[in-house]
Amino acid sequence: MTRNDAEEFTAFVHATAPRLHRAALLLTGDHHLTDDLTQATYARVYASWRRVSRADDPLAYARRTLLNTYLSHRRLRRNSELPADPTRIPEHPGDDVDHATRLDLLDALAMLSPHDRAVLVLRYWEDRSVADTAHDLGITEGAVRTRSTRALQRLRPLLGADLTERTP
Amino acid sequence: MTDHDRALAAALRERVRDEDPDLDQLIQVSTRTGARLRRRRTVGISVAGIAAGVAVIGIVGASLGGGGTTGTEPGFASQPTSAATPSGTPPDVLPTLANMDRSRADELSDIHVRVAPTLRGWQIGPVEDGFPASKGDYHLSVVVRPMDNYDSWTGGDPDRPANQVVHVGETYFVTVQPGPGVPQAVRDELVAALRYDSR
Repeated sequence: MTRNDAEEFTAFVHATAPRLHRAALLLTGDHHLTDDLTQATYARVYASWRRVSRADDPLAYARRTLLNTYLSHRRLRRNSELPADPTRIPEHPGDDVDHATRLDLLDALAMLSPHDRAVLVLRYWEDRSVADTAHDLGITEGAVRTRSTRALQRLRPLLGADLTERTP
Repeated sequence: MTDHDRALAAALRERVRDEDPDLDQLIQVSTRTGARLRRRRTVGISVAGIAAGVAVIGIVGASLGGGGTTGTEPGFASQPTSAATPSGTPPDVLPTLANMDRSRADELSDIHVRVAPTLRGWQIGPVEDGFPASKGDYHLSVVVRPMDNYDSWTGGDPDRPANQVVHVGETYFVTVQPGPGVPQAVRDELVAALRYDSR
């Protein structure tokens, strides 16, 4: 890699890392895993930088690498994370929510399946279309809609109040 | 988009608004790890190229030498084509993650071992198929090894003691090698925090 390549890569990281880092945090819900995921993503981007830098949209490549890395490790996370407690989020949108026990948004996302989480992050944080989300995740548009609807159904009870409030 | 959906989009943005990576560390770690990945990939391609070259030489030799076969036999015609492909594919035209099939993309991003986030007071290097782990002045290394090497770690080699093997998967095994003076309790603390792929 030439010095120019290294400078280009550094500039790319500066321009894109905050965005990918935040997406990684929404996906993993854990700062240590976020750091690991972001570093692994940029390491792979760096390993192919000459090709990636000539692509039409290097950020799209990096985003896809992040998703692939995240989803390919979901079984490991299952081993190391506590199982989701379905009693903490009402199954039905109309259920009342006790705001005193309201969950932090990251905790709530962590109760979704990794694929559902990825769909929500792409659709509502990255603002990707259904078609783009389907392409990024390698699933059908119907599956994106189904997963999105199901995930929102579980999260909506929390949307009646300030979701950004963090648990102590 | 409904009001709920807009609220979710706003909530996601607000929740991570103040979260920023350490860019200097990120660049340092990713370039170091990325350079290693690239070297490994290049070595893999070179090995494949040598294997393909040997196959081609074998085919040509068999064709020239006769041996009861000819170069037009179907069995020979198909072999060099598939085997030679990697050598004719320089790194810059390798398939992108967007183009390659899913299993291949997953294979490239395999990491078999992770460290539980509950482990406190340790410095853990970038987690891939080998990484350093330190606690104070104690230094250890965790290494994921291919199953092909397993026999050499259980065959009495003093440089490859079997008691360093801490996990055996289907296709890989993991060793934890302590540096000088590392107490057993420190090693055990790290080993207890390792999580493994089911493969």
